[in-house]
Parts: sequence; C-alpha cells; structure tokens
Amino acid sequence: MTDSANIFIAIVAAILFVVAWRKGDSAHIKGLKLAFEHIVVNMPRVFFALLSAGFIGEVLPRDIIASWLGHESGITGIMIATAIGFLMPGGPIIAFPIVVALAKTGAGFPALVTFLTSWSLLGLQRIFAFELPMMGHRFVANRMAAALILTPLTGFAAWLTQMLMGMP
Amino acid sequence: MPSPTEPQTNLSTQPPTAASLPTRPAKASPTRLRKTLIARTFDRSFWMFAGLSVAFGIFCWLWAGTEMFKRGLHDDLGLMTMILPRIVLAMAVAGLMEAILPKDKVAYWVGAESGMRGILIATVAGALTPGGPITSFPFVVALYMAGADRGSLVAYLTSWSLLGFQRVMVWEMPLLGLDFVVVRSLANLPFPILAGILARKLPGIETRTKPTVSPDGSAAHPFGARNDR
Repeated sequence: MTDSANIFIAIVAAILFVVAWRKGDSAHIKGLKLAFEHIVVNMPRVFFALLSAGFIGEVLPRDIIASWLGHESGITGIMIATAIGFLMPGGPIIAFPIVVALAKTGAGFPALVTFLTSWSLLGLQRIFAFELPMMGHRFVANRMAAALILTPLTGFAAWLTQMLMGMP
Repeated sequence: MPSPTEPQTNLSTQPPTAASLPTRPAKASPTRLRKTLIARTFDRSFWMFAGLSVAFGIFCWLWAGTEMFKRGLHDDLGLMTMILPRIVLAMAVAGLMEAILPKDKVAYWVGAESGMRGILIATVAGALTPGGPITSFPFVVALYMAGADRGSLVAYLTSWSLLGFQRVMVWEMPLLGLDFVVVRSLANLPFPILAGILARKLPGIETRTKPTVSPDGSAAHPFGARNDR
C-alpha cells in the first residue's frame, strides 16, 4: 500500500520532469526551484503538524468515540455519526474496520455512510496534518463550512437511495 | 521562443506570440529571495504548529502518562521517516506541475470564471486520483498556484474523499460489500458538485491569478477566437 503510493508519486514526478524538460524554456529548472521552495516552506510546518496530529490520535479514545453511535438511528444517528467522523483519528486502516464493527452493532446504512463522509471530509486529524499547514486556515474554513452543511445530507441521500432501490 | 517540440495546444486561431506569453516579473536579488523564503517558512502558521505540537505533547504526557507519550512519539517519528520522503516527492510534483501548467488555461478550465466546467472537471479528476492525502494535496497546491479557484479545489478534494476509486476498491468493497458501496456511491455522487458550488458562495481564499488579457487586447481569454467557431 505505502510502497505503491511512493512508486506512483515518483513516476508522476519523473513524467512531469520529462514533460517540463521537453517543453524547453528551462521549465524543468524552474519546476525544481519551485519544488525546492515548496519543500523549504512546507516541510517544517508539516513536520510539527504531523507531530501534533500524532498526539491527538494518541489522546482520542477510538473505542469510546465509536461506542457513542450505539443503536441510534434516524436523524440522531446521522448527527452522532457526523460528530464521531469528525473526531475519529487515523487512516482507512482504522476507519473501515470501525465501520464493520458499527454495522455489527446494528447501525444502519445512513449512519454508516454519514460516518464515512464525515471522517473523509471533516476528519480533524487529516485536516490538521496536511490541509491546514499546506493550504492555510481560510481555505480549510471555506471547505469545512461547505462540508459541514453537506455531511448530514449524505446520510439522508443514503436513506433515500436505499428506499428507491427497495432495500430493507 | 517556440520550439518544435513544444506540446502547447494551439487551439487559438492566432499563433502564440512572445507578447502574449505571460512575462515573469523582474528577479528579486538572491539575498532578498532567501529572506522572503525564510520569512515564509517561519511565519505565524509555522510557530502555531510548533507551539501546538509542544502543547499536545505535554497534554498527552500528562493525560496518558509517560509510557503512552513515549510510544506516541516513537510511532510519530517512525511514521515521519516514511511520510517526509514522500512529501519531498509530492512537492516535486507540485513544483513541476506549477512550472508546466499554463496559467491562462488553468484559469479558463478551473478558474473562478470557469463555472460548472471547473467543478465537473475537478469532480472527475478527484475520483480518479489514487492514494492518500500526500498524493492528492500536491495537486491542490499546484492547481491553486496556477490559478484554480476554491470551488474547483473543494470539488476536487470532496470528490477524491468521497468517490476516490482506489479507496473503494482497496477498502470499501472487500470490507463492506457491494450493497454498501452502491448505496454510498450513488448517495454521494452529487456532493462534490454541491460542495464546489457552496464553496464559491461562501467566503474563502481568492484565485491567485486572474485570466490574462493579451497586451493588444485581441484575445479576451486564452483560447482567443475558439468560441467563434
């Protein structure tokens, strides 16, 4: 998983370098200069952001957060799922097993879909580790405002989809 | 200086002239550049993250105890040795993309004036981008630098988060099954587009570059007379 991601991004970088070099106008040199600037500017703050995000993940109790959903369904379930998606730290290796566990406790599709949406769009830890240091707080606030309005709606959309498809 | 290998698309009926190419402002002196680079690196945001990591570290130590703190720090640094080299590669992608992407065309396709075109392109691109946040954020950074607007960027990130095919194939399908995948994907289909539209309505960052008008005023946008065809 991690290796394939590294290989993918290395290949993309190599292709872009060749494209820039072929473009002439010493675009490849300019690109590397810009890359150097990005690295110098972003690396130190991403380092500390990752460190903070790691401590956040250490402190937040995953089991307790997940247990909040319990047997809730309907609007309450969707609202709680939004909240736990926001708080749940970790990548897909953590989040998807949690969804499986929640499904076993009896949570319905709408709540599970809402949880995944919220974790994907609002997940505190990822925003903290990558988006905030690289894109700045104004971009994050704008995107989160849009996501916050839409996240509960994905739960309703899932409920509606289930109804239309005639699923139990 | 048009070279024969130049992959520029000449959709415009007018051949690109030297005058119509964006000109770079006069170079700053190296000392000044270094100073601004240092100032940009150690800005408020950097100190905020440095301060927060110390604060969260202390909190973790007090809350969870020395053992947990040590383990957290150890895990973090282990993760860092894996992630930081990838960020170097990602930033290389961002820098090279920025150098290659023609700013006027980026503005046309995904800029503030691109309307639904920008949001739809971003939605498709987001669904097709594989990998985790480290592979997707360099594209966001580079596109923003090249003139994409917040609506397109938000649509891209939302689409990558919700519809990204790789996550569906690797995680969702095997763990949660086809029924769940179908319901979730269908339910989430309109949301990247809605998020992009909402992001434009809500206040946020402005587009970095405006669509350029060539000096002689002959082309109001980069594709010149394309609309007349």
